[in-house]
Amino acid sequence: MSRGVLMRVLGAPILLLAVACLTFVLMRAAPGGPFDREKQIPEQILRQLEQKYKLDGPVYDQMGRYLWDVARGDLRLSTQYRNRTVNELIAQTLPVSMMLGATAFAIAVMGGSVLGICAAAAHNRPTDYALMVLALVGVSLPSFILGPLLMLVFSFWLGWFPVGGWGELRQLWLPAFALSLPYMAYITRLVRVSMLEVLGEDYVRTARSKGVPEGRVLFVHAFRNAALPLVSYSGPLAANILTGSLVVETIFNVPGMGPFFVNSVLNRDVFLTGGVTLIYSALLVAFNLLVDVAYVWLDRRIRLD
Amino acid sequence: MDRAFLRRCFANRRISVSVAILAAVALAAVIGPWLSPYSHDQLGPLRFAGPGAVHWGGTDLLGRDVMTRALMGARISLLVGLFGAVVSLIIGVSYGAISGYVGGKTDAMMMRLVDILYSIPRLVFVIVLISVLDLQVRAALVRLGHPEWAPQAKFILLFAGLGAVQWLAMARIVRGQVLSLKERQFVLAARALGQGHAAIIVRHILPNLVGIVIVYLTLTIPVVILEESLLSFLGLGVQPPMASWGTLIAQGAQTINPVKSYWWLLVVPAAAMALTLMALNFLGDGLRDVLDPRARR
Amino acid sequence: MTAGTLAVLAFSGCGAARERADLVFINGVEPESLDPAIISGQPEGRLVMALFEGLTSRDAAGVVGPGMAERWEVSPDGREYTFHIRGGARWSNGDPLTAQDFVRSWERTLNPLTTSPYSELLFSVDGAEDYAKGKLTDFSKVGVAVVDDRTLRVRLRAPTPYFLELCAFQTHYPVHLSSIERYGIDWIKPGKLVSNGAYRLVEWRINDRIRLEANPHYWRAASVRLKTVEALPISQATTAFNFYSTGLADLTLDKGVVPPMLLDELRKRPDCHIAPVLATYFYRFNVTRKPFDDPRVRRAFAMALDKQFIVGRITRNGEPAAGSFTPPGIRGYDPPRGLPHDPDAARRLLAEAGYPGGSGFPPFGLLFNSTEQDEEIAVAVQDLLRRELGVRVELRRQEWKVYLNSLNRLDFDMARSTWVADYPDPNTFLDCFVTGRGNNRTGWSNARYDSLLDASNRTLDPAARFGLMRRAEEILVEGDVPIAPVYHYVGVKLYDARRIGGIVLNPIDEYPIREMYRIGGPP
Repeated sequence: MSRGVLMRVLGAPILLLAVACLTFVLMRAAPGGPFDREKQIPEQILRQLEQKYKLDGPVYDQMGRYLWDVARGDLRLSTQYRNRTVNELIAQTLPVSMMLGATAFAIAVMGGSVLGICAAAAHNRPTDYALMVLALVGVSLPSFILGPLLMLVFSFWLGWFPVGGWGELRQLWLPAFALSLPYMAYITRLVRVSMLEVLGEDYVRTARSKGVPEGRVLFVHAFRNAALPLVSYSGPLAANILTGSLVVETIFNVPGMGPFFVNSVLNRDVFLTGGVTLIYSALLVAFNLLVDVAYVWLDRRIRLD
Repeated sequence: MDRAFLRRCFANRRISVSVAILAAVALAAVIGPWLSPYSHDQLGPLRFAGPGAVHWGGTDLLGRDVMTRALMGARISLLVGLFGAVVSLIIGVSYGAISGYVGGKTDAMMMRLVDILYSIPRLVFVIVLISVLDLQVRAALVRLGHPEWAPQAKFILLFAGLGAVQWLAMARIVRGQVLSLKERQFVLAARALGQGHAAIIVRHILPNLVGIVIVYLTLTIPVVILEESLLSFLGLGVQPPMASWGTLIAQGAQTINPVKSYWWLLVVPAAAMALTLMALNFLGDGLRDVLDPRARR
Repeated sequence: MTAGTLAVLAFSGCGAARERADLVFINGVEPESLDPAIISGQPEGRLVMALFEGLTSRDAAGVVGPGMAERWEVSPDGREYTFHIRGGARWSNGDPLTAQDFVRSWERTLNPLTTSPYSELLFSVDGAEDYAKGKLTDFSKVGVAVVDDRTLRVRLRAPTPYFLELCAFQTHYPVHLSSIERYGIDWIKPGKLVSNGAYRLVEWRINDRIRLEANPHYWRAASVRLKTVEALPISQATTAFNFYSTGLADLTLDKGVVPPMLLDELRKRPDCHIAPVLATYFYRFNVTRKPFDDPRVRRAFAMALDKQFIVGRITRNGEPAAGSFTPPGIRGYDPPRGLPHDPDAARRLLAEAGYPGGSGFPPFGLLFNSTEQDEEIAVAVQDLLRRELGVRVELRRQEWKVYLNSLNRLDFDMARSTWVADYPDPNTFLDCFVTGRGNNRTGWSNARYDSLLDASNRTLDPAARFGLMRRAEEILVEGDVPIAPVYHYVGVKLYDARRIGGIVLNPIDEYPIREMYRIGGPP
């Protein structure tokens, strides 16, 4: 195991460079360039711009120079935000996305687990059905509908939360909840299935027969074993949710990194796309490693018990 | 597929109910626009008319009949979902099967590529892919002598692109299955009898993947439909005057406001889509229960 | 635990209860830069106009008056301007602002290494174009010279009646060169940016807000009534409207941030202000491709377009249907009427061109991008052309950069476009279609058009000049018709006129913040 972890840690930089390489090639292959504007830019200015942003010369040469810069930690200048480096854009927006994402992650995991356990406990009874239908609605509605609906209810009708913005605690809850809902729904279904499996096992029956209170049986004995699929799911989930959501951050005007993923592509801001993609990949690799370690640790503890 | 399996499926209430719903939606999508007195792209004199006897689902800004558009949207969305899932299936199964069956260095290399593609955010990948391929596909259609298909290029791209980002999970699952299958008795026996690799894959390995593939297919369709709706929200979905559920819902999202709500613009397509996606998810779950004896109880 | 650390990270640097600015407005997209030489968009232009000031400046109604220059003289041939910079002209750090600052700033804008997308607007200065294109390396030969610290002399290559308008435009603003040398690309950031306008930059959080404060060194600081101003970068219409309607913002200036679905309702409200602006929505024909190489076909299309339907049913803000490319509202200029909406004549023309009833007309593409209501308009036009002319149109929507790329490479048949005036003169519109101009984007070339426009730019008498321009425009919209104008834009602003004053709707669509004020105390 430790050798596997070591291999993956060593392999990570290569993976990241490959990701940078692929993103760059795809972006350069796409029609339309970063300097196409509504009013045409004179030819000689365009040449100057390409030189300034190191987008001149053959593509393999451009890529080589880019990878070298990336390897040294320089994600270069954004071609759209002309006075900013990609490092700076990420440094300002990533913490916001992570704050929002961490909150949403906590809501999704806690809410989803509790609901999943409840559904499993009420297997084939109305509560179970109701929760399952709700969870299905949660994964069947696009987030650009869920967000505005939440806003309509909690901001316009009830007036509990502001419609958006960032900087105060009360501005956090609505977007965090909107972001967490689809994941919560998914986790509810995940936990329910694995709980149902575990609840049939002998040791749960033993615990029950020994007179352990039902709540303790469900939340401690059974859930600890049923949590393994949730642990493996939480790696990619964390990478996804912490790098921000285009839809939620746009709708609630949260100044996070999410919108860059799509806008930079549409603006052909090749280095910004490269930068945010790298951050995403790095987080994904890191969380998957973390999850593997956690998985083994949890598994061992369960077997030891 | 054997009879017993089908009987088991229909004994499962979740499966029968969702199949019934899906059949109804598919039927409505096929014959609905044909029965409707309106055409989906026919402009009318009434702007934002509410639902009533004339227009059951109301009208939109250009006076088009919302119900007819939702029915046409069903066609588009179901096609995109189905074809997208099939594309991902074809790529995923063949890639995963080859990787797992060949094994060794090839397997390692192929799986590294999957890792790399996995690490690129899906949305970035699909937007760039569609954009890169757009002009190429058009040019290819013209070169092949089918310029009349050019308007559909975007549509083809959409499910090709969406399928092309969904195959990764399938490839991993299939590879895992194949790795364990190829050590099983009957495969080893076939090899000992001197059967060729292609024959072994087609006759012995693929049939054993049918179950997992069907479950995966039903669960991928809703994902593709949702993803298409997100692209529509970004203005990158199907080309007007065609409309998918995603396009309609994205336009309808504006009706969620405290000033003036033309709710039918959202409710009609959103209800249709939510119902369909729920049925597909239910079906997938049900099939998994039936096919996976461990989860069946 | 992680959440706690992050909370500190994310929320640090802003007090628990921030003081609300005197004015919060919604400013469209996140500014790409605040460098006057670099920017090209309206959201950036708005902020830069608050931060910097040129030799001249605009008042609340958009009319040009004195700015950094308190007065100026013009030579009788209209080619030489002498500007007298006011004594109290200072930078926000207290440095005096001199004629030298202007010369060096214009040199910087024209320098190809600065890569200014708008440097063309400085080309009216004698020798500026040659310098920008590298034909002239000695800037002292360019027609801008320091007479003394407070006097600047500018020599133009031709009498340019709108030169004072240009002086109020961002390309002609002075920048603080020593801080650019010191900070490099970081010079426009809070704490580093030295500006000379009514405001200075105090905070800039990406995708969140930009905060300005009144500049105490500004020459008319006493008249600046809004002491703090915040610009929110919101480009999603629904989000912007939510912010406005719940009081998180006081003002929206872009039509793009008003949800189109609410137009019918909003138009009736007293806080919705609509006025014409100098911008035109039009279709380009690719005259290098069949069948649009035939002017009869182009005229037929222009006459078949039911513009009233488009403005009445889709845009719905009282936009005037456009016959001419130049919008009405430029003083002294009377644009041609353009081609009438006449489907019968259109059908006859199409038949003459060899396509009676549209038969034999090859299928072609209508290119557009998806902003605002383009999609609905495209659908309506497709329907109109099918019904009136019997031609088959394929709608081709492309994402923004791809669309621009297709325009530049002339890879389209018919494409939707918008042109917004840079200065209130027909030249900003008509110059686009001179042979070989970057913004021509139709492949169209007409020697007579070129020579009429050229002559107009050498003519001093306004009436004669406008006469020549009108004749040129007649070729453009009635004769050769490489474009079909659809409608002239109107601006839609949301603000409560009982609470905010100093906003005068104007066709230039410029609203200096220093002229705005609150009525009845703070929000």
